[in-house]
Amino acid sequence: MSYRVLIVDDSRTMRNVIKKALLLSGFQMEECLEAGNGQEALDVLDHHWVDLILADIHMPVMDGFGLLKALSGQETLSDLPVVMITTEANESRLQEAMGLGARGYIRKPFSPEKIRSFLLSVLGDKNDCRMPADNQGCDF
Amino acid sequence: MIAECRLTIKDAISNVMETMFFSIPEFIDSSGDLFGEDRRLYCESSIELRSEDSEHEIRIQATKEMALMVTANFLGVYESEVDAGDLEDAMKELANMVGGDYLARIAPIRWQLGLPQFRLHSFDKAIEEDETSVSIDLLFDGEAQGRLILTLRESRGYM
Repeated sequence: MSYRVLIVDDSRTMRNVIKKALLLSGFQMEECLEAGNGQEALDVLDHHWVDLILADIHMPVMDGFGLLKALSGQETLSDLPVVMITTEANESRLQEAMGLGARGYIRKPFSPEKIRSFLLSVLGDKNDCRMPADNQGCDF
Repeated sequence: MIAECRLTIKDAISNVMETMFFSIPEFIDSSGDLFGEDRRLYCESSIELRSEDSEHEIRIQATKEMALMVTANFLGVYESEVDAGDLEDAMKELANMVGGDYLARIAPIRWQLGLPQFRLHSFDKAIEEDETSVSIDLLFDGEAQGRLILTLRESRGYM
């Protein structure tokens, strides 16, 4: 199955790296869209349907938390899986993201293999899952 | 404390470099002799980690060769295709990831990562090591290519 993915990060370089990691991993993408912050992501979602959002937490204009809140308030988007890709080390902040509806989080640095297996799990059963602190796998 | 931080920052940069940049550095205690006229430190990215009572600052200095290598590996392009914006972005992201990895190892609760900064040419290239600072040179393929500086200090009250 191929997926339509939206990558939300204020760093163009990081968006490229995530996209490249997905391609290298063999993750099947029908389309890969990009946005520089949460507000831009909402604008993209006005015109495109996606299967998965990969979002940073720290961004200008609208951060990852703002994006999660905005999505949860829209009936057509509230079930859209969002996975945070972040350097955030503060567990309470990560739990806050989960509480706002994120399906999981991946801490940078990440390898293509780990990002793929994690995302497929999220897309497969859509249960809550998270990457442990040592970045060695997922707790499902 | 500082000895523990020295080991932790080495682990953090090793993990980030190996996972994201496909390069594994060797470490040597800093010596100004390693960076002569033909191998100058070209740029620096840095990030501050803050808690209520203390701050750690991580500075990563790189020769142009190392900065290009990091950026090219990060983006999966040839070094000749790297532009100045890519280089700044990649070096800032390196500092961001090393800071996040370091923080996850020392104390993931009640600390915050600041925003990564980037400087070209104009930065302090040498520090005197003491009980609050660490300076480690980074070698790739046996050649000095970068310097990692960690400074601990009391909080300046940003939080």
